[in-house]
Amino acid sequence: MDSKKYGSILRTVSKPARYTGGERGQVIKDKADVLCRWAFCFPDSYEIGMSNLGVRILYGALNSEPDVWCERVYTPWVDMQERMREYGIPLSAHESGDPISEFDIVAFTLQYEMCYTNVLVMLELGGIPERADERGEDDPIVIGGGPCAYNAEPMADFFDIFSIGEGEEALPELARLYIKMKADGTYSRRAFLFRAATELDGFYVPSLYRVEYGEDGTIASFEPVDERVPRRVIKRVVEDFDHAYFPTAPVMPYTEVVHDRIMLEVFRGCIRGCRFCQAGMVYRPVRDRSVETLCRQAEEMYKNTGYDEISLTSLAIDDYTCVGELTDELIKWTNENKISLSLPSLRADSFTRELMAKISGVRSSGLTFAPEAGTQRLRDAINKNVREEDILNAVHIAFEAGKSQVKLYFMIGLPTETDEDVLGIPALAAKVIEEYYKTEGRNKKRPPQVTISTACFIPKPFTPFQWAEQISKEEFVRRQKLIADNIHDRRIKYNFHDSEVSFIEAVLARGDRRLGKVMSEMHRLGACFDAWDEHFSAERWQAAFESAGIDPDFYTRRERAPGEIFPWDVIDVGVTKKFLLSEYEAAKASRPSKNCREGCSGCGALVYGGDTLCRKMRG
Amino acid sequence: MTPVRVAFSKTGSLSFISHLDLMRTVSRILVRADIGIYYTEGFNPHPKLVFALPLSVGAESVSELFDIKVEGEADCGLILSRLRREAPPEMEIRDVYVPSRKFRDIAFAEYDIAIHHKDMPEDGAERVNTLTDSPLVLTKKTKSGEAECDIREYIAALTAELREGDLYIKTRLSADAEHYLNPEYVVLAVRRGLGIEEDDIAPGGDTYSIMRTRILDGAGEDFR
Ligand code: SF4
Repeated sequence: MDSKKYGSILRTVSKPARYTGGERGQVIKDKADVLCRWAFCFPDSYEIGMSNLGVRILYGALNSEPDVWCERVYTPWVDMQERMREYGIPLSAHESGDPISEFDIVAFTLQYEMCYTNVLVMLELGGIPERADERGEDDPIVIGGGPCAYNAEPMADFFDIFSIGEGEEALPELARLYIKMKADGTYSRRAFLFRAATELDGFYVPSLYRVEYGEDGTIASFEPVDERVPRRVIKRVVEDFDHAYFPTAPVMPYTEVVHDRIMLEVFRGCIRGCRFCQAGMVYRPVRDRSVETLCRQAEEMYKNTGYDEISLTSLAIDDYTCVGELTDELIKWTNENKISLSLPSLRADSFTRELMAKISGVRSSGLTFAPEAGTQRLRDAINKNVREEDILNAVHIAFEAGKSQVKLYFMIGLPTETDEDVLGIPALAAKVIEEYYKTEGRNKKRPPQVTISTACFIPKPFTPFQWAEQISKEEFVRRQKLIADNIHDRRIKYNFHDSEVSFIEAVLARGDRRLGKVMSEMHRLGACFDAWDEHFSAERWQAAFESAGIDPDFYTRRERAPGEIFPWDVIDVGVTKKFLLSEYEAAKASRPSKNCREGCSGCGALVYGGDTLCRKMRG
Repeated sequence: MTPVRVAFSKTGSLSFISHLDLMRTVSRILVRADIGIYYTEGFNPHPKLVFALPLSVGAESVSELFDIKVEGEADCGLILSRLRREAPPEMEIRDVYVPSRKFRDIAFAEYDIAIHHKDMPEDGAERVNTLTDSPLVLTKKTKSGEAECDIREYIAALTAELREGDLYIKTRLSADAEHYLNPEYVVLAVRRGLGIEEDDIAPGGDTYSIMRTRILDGAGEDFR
């Protein structure tokens, strides 16, 4: 946004630096050299969007093409939205300040369901027709991607196309197809979408499939409208992950953003297969980067950013076989440069004194572990292979190193959970406090503090629990209260997620196209920033369900039959429905499975080629 | 260890970042520049960094200063080129030198202010030039809350001219630690005096801009 032209408006809004752009590292191109312009929209605030590693990767990958220019767009905060509507200011891209309606392709990354309402707000502010079938030849192609695209059927009415799986290779291919068709005069919206769906891998065009429903409301058939259209869309995977593009000169925000640090992506996928976790399934096969590559990337990023923290991101970082070697190499230069190392996803069962010593430079005085469930029985059922001894051992090491605060993350409402499992949560917290006083060499100056956080379980597509029912909101509240009533120690704090929000997330996560009406209605009712507690309104969602004639319980309060056709069956993520079903059966029998390193369970991800861990293990 | 002073400008979109954002941005520039910066001691070490004067969000400046310390001798030429390499586009590093005076010797700052309004009175400039003849009482933020205050005691000079219907003001305001006047108050006083409150903030509507042009010592000389 031009700071001169809009100066008076910028003075009236909160944090104007969100809108002015001009950051170091942003990509500026000469429009004369550009044949395909992308507006890459993050449907949440600037502070959240700028922190996203996936967006950084795709921004860089698209801009590596000389004739493609990718720019950034975020959801303006509510005060700015008001000004934009009042003064007719269109939503525009950060780099050029051009309205997004002038772009060739408008992309949205769908990171969580609660950002869907922001997508519709951004289309409106951008002057782009809301529904895909209302768009004309001069309107941009609207594409969605990110984790929610594995089942974005509730948003199918509003997107022309979805990118399924990892985008760093797929999106440049789509841009090339666009440029080619524009150049040889064969471009039309229809022709372009058809060729993307039929000639490129990993692109799903919802309008090319017809859905019919049976009397019980479940899907009776989900068929392509044309035999040339693939029956299932195969997700894209970067096979050579070690050499894959990774941005080492990111855009440097001026204003504080959520993750303002160096993020190293150590591996993709996860060997564990926790049964509630979608990421652990859809990012398979497991691929990792070499220590050499990671060290080079870290050093380059440090030179380019000046950040004082390196975070090793990935699903369960200590599963990285070379984590010791990697941290040894990094510490050689991070300590003297006053850079701290953080490992946000530690597993209690592989937490060691050596690892603790390396991250003790971290400024926070606490550590976080995620036992997920309160009893061993339930941890076995969800395949979270962490034992109580592991957790107590891990906190012991942390206490020894002078830490006094521990955060423990759990989920409530998991399939097969009983009150005994729920009561296991405060009981475990109490044992952690006991462990503190058993630890020689603890920090005696500070009293211990254990914070329990419980999320509400949300059954997700492409997990063994995709068939499961979600417990009712009232039952969530009862279990939350059960935990609160059984904490008898002021040194234990308890936080929990709002079950109303989790209920809506659950509806959308496994929703189908009929929910499009609800989304339109939500937009009409003024919804935006539903991911922010202060803007979420359960009443508004209720009103939208009612006026769309949709019963939300259909999507949440129902155990699905093994043979039910799911809206997301059209997507092929490698992991098979058969494998997921067998895992669901194992869960019901409280039987854990082996992790990929102990042996391949034949999940289906082996269909992907490349130097994956799956292949290495198969020899 | 040598103290080093850096003179820089902050214009365009950079004028909309807060003081905290500026601190963060400069800290990272200092790290990237790799100039042997001196860090504060303690649990959370960060580059030692002191800015001369605050600047309100939205105001530009071609005359900003911050002080740092570097280990050993200071090679000001090298520091200048390294900082230039690392600064974002709208931050121009103008000068680097070893200071001989402390920031507490700063007495005044000068500003260019431009005000645009659709109902700008034709005699606007004359009226501004005599504005300080009578009391200019505004509610001013102070260390202990808000207080009514006659801001004339902070205004060392104020002249205006009208060009193509816009008002161009040059003003010198006190800027010592005890008596710092934010130039936004001058904009407020002028608008009130002329009866031209901002009521249309749309592009091309009523607007103003502030540019800090100089920082001066008690004798009215450029502060270095
Ligand atoms: S194919 Fe085997 S090794 Fe690979 S992710 Fe699936 S279960 Fe694990």
